[in-house]
Amino acid sequence: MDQRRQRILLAVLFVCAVVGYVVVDHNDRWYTSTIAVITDIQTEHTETQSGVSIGQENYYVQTISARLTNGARAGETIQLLNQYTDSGVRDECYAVGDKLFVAPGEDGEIGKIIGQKRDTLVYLLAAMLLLGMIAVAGTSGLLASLSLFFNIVLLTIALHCYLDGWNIFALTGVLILLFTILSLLIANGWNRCSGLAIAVTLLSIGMTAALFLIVRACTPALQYQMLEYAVVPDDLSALFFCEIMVGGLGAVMDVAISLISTADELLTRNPALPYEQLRHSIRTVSDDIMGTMVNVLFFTYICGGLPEILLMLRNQLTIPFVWEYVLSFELVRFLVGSIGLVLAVPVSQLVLKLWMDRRKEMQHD
Amino acid sequence: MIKVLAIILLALMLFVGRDRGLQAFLTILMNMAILAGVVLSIVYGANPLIASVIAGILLTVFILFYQNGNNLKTRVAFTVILAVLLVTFALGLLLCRAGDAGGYSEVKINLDDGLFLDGNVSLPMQQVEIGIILLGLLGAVKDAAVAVTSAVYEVHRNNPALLPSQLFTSGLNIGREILSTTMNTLFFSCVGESLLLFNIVCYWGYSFGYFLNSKALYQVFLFSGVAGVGCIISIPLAAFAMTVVLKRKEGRSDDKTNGN
Repeated sequence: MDQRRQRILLAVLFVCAVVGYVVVDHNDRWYTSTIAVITDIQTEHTETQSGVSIGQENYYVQTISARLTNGARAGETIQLLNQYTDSGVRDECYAVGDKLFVAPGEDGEIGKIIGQKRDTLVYLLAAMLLLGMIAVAGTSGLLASLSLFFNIVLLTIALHCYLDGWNIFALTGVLILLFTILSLLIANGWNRCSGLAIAVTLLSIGMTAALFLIVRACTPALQYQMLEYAVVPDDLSALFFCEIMVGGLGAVMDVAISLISTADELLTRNPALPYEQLRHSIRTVSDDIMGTMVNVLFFTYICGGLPEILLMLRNQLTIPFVWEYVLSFELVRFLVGSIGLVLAVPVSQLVLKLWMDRRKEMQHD
Repeated sequence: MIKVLAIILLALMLFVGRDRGLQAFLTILMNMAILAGVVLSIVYGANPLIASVIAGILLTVFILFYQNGNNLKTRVAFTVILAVLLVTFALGLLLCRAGDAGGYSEVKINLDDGLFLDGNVSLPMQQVEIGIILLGLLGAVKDAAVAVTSAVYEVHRNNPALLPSQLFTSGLNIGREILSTTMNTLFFSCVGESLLLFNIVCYWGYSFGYFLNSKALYQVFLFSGVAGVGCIISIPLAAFAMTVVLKRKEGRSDDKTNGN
């Protein structure tokens, strides 16, 4: 019965997703900027330059005919020019059917391309994630997407608070507190398991933050102005601190909830379980997840920096330079996140021990 | 700073996991060596797509069989990971092409980030983007696949009389927990990595429509989104594959598991 209901729900959601796709694909009139869809492209090879270190770079110019899809001149065909290269470091090669934001020229003059319209693709990926999560994980998938949504809202609010001049450290603290409580409560409901997991997560993150700040104070500073998307007036070292704390939060939560729910299940089955035995079970679980979680963090962080590293190395910059200005940031993120999640293991043991002791005392009274 | 942090991590791992901790640390070093190999081979002219596909397979082999040993569970997990890599590769290729996700985003260009770098690198940045998407999801997909295959295996060992559909369901149940926590991890590492980007977007007052359609957001979202999709498909796939393998091994005639 339950399975049938889930299937019906999925079918309904799928239909909604398809309808949503059609809507997003035809939402041009909602934009105030002018949009054009490419109907024809003529490509011409203009020149070949030699590459910085190896190879050659071909330059092409696309003569694009596009049809305006919104605004007063909708339906009109305009001409656009676009230069692109084989590498595409600062340019794009467009294809027929792509939608572009344009500033169309008057009376057959050549217009200017502002950017590509990607909202349909963003929607497609988001819908795929949402539907997939609900199809595979049912209710818990729905809850997980819900908590992601709330976290995004929270993040947006926090960013506005930051721009209003809030203290970054206080904001990070509040943000981490709310992120943790919100995610764990939505995922697990209000019970002792969530309570303990929240305590473990906050303690581990706090200890990691303290550790990082101590190390930062004792070692030479990183070249923060080389951070991706750095703006000068900000306190970049503080922002970076906020970044790595939030970045490691997910992994710490993951470890905390896995360990605590294992312990919780064992205690539910056998309330008289001695602490030593519990600790042993936790060890087995933590051994399994520690290595894999560290791996997850490694790949998500280090791979993010690879394009920049490749560009720099192809520009004949030296490896020490790349290490200092790109790789060190990614490595610090990864290392601090991993320290956080490894710390979560002894912290869970500690929290469980304290909690069991207290429970025992209460039973004795 | 990195050295100090690395030493702290190593000490903690040894303290918490002893030999398993050391093993995890060595795995990371090995990953770094392989990634360094990928970077250098691309710098010296290898095709980024081919290099990252080969590295992806190599990394899977090393991490999986080194950390989890060579047995039925890991062999099934390996097949599943390869299948997922294939699917996500196709997905990444399609989405990168359709949205031109390679190279510098407009936000970076406006910031004059990397202005001193010459664009004539003769290195297709779009292929690089697909390659890093592929490598970036390895950790998460491996996590999900191994958890599900070993759970199904344990359930089967404790209770060999279970029907294939029941085995499959128990695999999905484990996958459910893994999925929501992994999504959480991916979400936060993605946010943590792009906080500065979001900060700039608010700081400069970009409109919602502009940001939604920007390459900057698209790159970030594609990187974690495709990893999420890979994780999602790996769970039913792993549960299904493990069930089929176990039942076939048992020599039963009814190994035609229905994948409901």
